[in-house]
Amino acid sequence: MADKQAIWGSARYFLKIDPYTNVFSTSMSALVSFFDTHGLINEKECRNLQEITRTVFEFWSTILPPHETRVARWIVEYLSDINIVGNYNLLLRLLRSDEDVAGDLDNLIKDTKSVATEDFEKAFDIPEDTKIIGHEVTITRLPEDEYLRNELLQKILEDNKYQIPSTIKSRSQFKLSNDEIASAEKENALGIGETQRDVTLFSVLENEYDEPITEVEIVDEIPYYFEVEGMSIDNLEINPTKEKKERVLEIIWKIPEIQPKEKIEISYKLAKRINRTILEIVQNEVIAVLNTFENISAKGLDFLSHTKYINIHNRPLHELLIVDEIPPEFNIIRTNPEALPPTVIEKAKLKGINVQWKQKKIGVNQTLEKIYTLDYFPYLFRGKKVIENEESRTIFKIAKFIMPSEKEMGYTVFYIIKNVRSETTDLISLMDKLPLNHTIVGREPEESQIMEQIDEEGDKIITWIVEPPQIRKSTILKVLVSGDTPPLFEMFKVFIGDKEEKDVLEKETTVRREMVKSP
Amino acid sequence: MNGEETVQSVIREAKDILAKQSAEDFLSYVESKTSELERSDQFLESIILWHFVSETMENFEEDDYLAYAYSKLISRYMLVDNLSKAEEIYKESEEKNLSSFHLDTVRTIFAGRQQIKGNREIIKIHRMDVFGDLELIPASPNTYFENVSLIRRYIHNNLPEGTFSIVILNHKNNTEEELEISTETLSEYEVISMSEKVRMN
Repeated sequence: MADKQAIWGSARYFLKIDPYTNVFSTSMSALVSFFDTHGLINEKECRNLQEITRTVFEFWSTILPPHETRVARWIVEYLSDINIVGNYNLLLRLLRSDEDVAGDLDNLIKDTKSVATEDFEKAFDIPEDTKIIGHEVTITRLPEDEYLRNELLQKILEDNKYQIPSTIKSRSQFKLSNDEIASAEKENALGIGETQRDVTLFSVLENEYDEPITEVEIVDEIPYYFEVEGMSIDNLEINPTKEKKERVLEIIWKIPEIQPKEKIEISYKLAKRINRTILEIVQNEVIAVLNTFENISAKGLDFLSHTKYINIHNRPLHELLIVDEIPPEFNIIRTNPEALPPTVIEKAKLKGINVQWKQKKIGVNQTLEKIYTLDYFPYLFRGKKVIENEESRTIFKIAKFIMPSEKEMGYTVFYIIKNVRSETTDLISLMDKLPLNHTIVGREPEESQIMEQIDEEGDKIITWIVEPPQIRKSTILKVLVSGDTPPLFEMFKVFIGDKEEKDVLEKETTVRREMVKSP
Repeated sequence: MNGEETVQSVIREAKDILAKQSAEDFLSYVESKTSELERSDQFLESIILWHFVSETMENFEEDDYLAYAYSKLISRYMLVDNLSKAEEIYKESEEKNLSSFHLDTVRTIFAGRQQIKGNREIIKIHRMDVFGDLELIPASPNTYFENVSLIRRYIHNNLPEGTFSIVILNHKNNTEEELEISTETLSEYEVISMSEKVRMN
């Protein structure tokens, strides 16, 4: 955590730079704050290094004569204290110039075209059901200026990075009784899986006609970023065919007939892969960009990913840049071989981890292999339920939070019931589910009434029975659970006396990085 | 060239830039020249040039350049310890209703030194609970602030950890502003979030 430090030449004014990344680069962002002895004077969110340097300089020059060299030196020392290696010359350059780097870079890129990648696919031992997406970027020249050269390579990386989609396309086609062929297309949202790494996808087709539809074909376009770990189609015994397209794996289901109003549901269990971008500087004017996708497999309590690169060009490469975007659910424990400079592991705030491997002079057929050992990034489950009565008035708000315990062998669940405007004296029951092998080892308050039973599906059902809090007041229960597998990320059920939930009026599910206060 | 000649030549060149190019180029030219002057301790020359900028920008449609010139003037007068002149410019900037990131920063520094009584008063403080609902908590009356930065500082120093919605009455133009401030220490999590609205039987 960054701390404020005095501006050189002043005992009353302080600056703080809170970077959102651990890596010094022109694209680094940060919050810059300015203090006096009484506290915060002002602060600014800076989107890149140029804004950071300018903001520090502006704050500095409100109280002291402007000295670019001193400001640049101060920033380098400040960053060094928080273990970020800065570049004094670059900072000075940014402070002194107004050059529009981005505009210049656009002019250097002449052309980008798709290229065939079959040879790479054979050489790289890529996972089954994936492809390599390849592009060739032609540039006018590689700038000699190191700063511009790095910026250009970063821009090519960014421009050609595989963009992870948030929805999955599904196409369907079928025949009507008059032999007419009808088709439809839709985007399906991804859902939460049983564990943190899983993603679920449901692809549904309902026959809305008053007649049977025949020769039905449903095609789900699964991006190569996802590994298909499992799939099923209701109770039908149909095996789909797969077809590798340029950017997606098509899963094709052929169903002979669907009756009127009948609904066919295909469910997928998907797992995220490492999204790798490779930049091969083949010649001074030609840069090859490859997007590959690497499986992450469970091993004991950790996860492993093995990646391989081989130079299949018939000439040595000047330089090779590889960026591995680790899915946000994961944290890196170690890499093998160990990540040594100039390898950079960037942990950007709210964005996840990027690992950048940089190698010079890669010989013909030289192979680079890396193994990542990963575990889960700290998670928080937040379930909130708003309870309405028959007159559509909110009577209760109930929340559930799950947080992993520090020792990693269990977790804490918090339940909070807030009475918004209910006069009821009926007991409230919150019914929730735990994996069968998980055990409640503590509760607060200790006298809380919790019932445990096993349901037909073999899950452990816990029910907290409690008197309703007074209007505008809350009641909280904290439960400590022990178990060596992840918790279930599911919503609880609510009963007030003998009344149960009737309709779900609204429902929303999201998974994303957030800055939150621990509950 | 002596100081006065330098100032005159910068003014001539700056006017030329404003006529032929843009206000942004004009400001960046003056900024670079005043920085040079200040590096050799010629603060009075720098002040003359910032007065020239404020007069030139007086009738300009965009307030930002004028606010910037005022922020420079207040901070430069503070640097040369001419606090009465800094206060005069400070009050002028208030009368003109100028506001910008830099001007607010500089005015906060000045108000901190001079204990100036401001126009803004906190009239309501709501605290946010885990459901995002706001609950009114007692606000201390008769505490006046010059600007939003000072209010934020007050909240950070005087309220317990939490997320607050602050309603401020600006006595000068009798308007109310609302400000959301969090004083909590936040950590990064991968958040799996579900929300539902249900109706009971």
